[in-house]
Amino acid sequence: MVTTDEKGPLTAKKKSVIIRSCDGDEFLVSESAAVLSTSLKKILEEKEDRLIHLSDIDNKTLAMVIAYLSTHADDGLSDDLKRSFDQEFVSGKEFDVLKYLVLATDTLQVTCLCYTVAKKMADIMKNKLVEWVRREFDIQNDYTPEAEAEIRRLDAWAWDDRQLEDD
Amino acid sequence: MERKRIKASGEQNKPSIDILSDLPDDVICHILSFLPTKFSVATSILAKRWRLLWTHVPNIDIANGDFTDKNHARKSSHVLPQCLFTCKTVVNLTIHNCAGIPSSGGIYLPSLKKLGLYYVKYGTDEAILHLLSGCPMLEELIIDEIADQDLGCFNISSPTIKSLEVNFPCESFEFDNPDYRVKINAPALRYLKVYDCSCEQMSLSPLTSLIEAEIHFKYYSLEVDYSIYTRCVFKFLDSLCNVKCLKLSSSDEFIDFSKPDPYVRFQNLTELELSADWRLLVKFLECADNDPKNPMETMEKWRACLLYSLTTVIIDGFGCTEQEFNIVRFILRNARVLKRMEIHRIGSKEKFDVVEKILLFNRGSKECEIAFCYDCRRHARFRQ
Repeated sequence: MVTTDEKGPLTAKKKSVIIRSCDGDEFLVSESAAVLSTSLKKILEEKEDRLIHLSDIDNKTLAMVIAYLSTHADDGLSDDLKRSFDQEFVSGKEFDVLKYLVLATDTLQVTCLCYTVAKKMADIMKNKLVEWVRREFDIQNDYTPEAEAEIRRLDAWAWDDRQLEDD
Repeated sequence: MERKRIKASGEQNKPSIDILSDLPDDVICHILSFLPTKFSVATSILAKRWRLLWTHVPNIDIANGDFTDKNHARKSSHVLPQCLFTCKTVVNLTIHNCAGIPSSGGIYLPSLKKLGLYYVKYGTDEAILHLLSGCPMLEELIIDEIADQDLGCFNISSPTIKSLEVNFPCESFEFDNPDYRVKINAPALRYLKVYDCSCEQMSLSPLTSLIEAEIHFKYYSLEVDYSIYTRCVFKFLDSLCNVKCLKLSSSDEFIDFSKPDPYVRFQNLTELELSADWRLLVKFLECADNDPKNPMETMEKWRACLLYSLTTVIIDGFGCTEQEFNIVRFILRNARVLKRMEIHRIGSKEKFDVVEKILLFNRGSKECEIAFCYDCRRHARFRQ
């Protein structure tokens, strides 16, 4: 059992990784935080390289994700504290910010944060009209008016609230 | 689903600006999974890409009232879209106030584990049978009220379900058809809950895996012969005989105690919660040749049942009759492994006298503790 004791200080030695956002900013992150992202973990396993470039994630979003990863990698914090951090993390954030966050967490495969952000977005979308979603997600309607009318007729129950409001 | 690849260092790409125009399908579905299905379906109007996106959402949440719009007359329940019954991914499905379950063909739900059917109109006897035969992985089933008034036989048959809850309120049984039957054939069942159980209409196939059962008996119907009803009750209880944990309740005195009926011996019973006519407890455990008019003699013959298995007794509603004291005294004296007896809602003003009297009874089990509670919220307790 002496060997495991000797191993202790070795694993405790902090390794770091540099992560670069798409707009060129670099962040120094402890490896224990980085590996909470399944994608980053895979890269680190495959390559010796300590510099990872993320071409899809901007500076502002990356900073938020790294703050999340570092908090969750901190062994000194209790699970309760981490949970309340998660709640504060998403509260008050603009829908636009959340969109970039959810995409980043999906790309980086940070399952817990992806869940929290997706749920927060759903909470905001609740009770909104489809037109609101179209605006927020910047979706171009590529239906012909006839095709749209046909869908509205087929699944009429999904839009009946507006009809009721018209009464 | 395409996932954007992360590039390692060295490949300097220009920042992509329009990344949001194509949020991956699985991210959108993830967000939609927290919203009612009605909302997801409504998003199909956004663009062609969104037309069938909602069908990839792994859960379905259809609420009562979702279909009561003026395009669909209220006289009939809404007919469910048939594509719902061939969804390969749905794991948890709850349906309220709908109709349109196909009675032949077109049902295959290979991932479905949990199914809740609330006030569904089945249309034919075959519909429920057919629906369950299309769910090879089903583990939990809840059937709460039936919208039909004219079914002949409701057949709940599944080799895989482990948990079943059925609630057929009295109104549903006011059919024209007096031969209406409910059959349950679920050999893997571990948990069974029946509310408003109507024994003369219900038949159970052997439930050898059953661990826990919660049964509430329906009010005794005056149209049914008293002794026939009693026999039905015991036949029903007999099919639960392997159960370890049993909760039994009834608002009625429904047993004909004048005839010696077949008894039920619960060989594995370790927990019993009884809220019914006290004499039912006697019927539970007595031997067939007992004289029910002589309860003390009957009690002596219970011993074999009580000695080695019963660990918990919960008595809800103690009327302080002499017979009730006798039963409590007998259980305490003879149950050798009893760990806990709880007595709720003592029906007497002299509650402390009742408590004192019971605490003085001899106990066959040294570990046994007795708890008294004066209201049904189960707060205040006396322990010894």
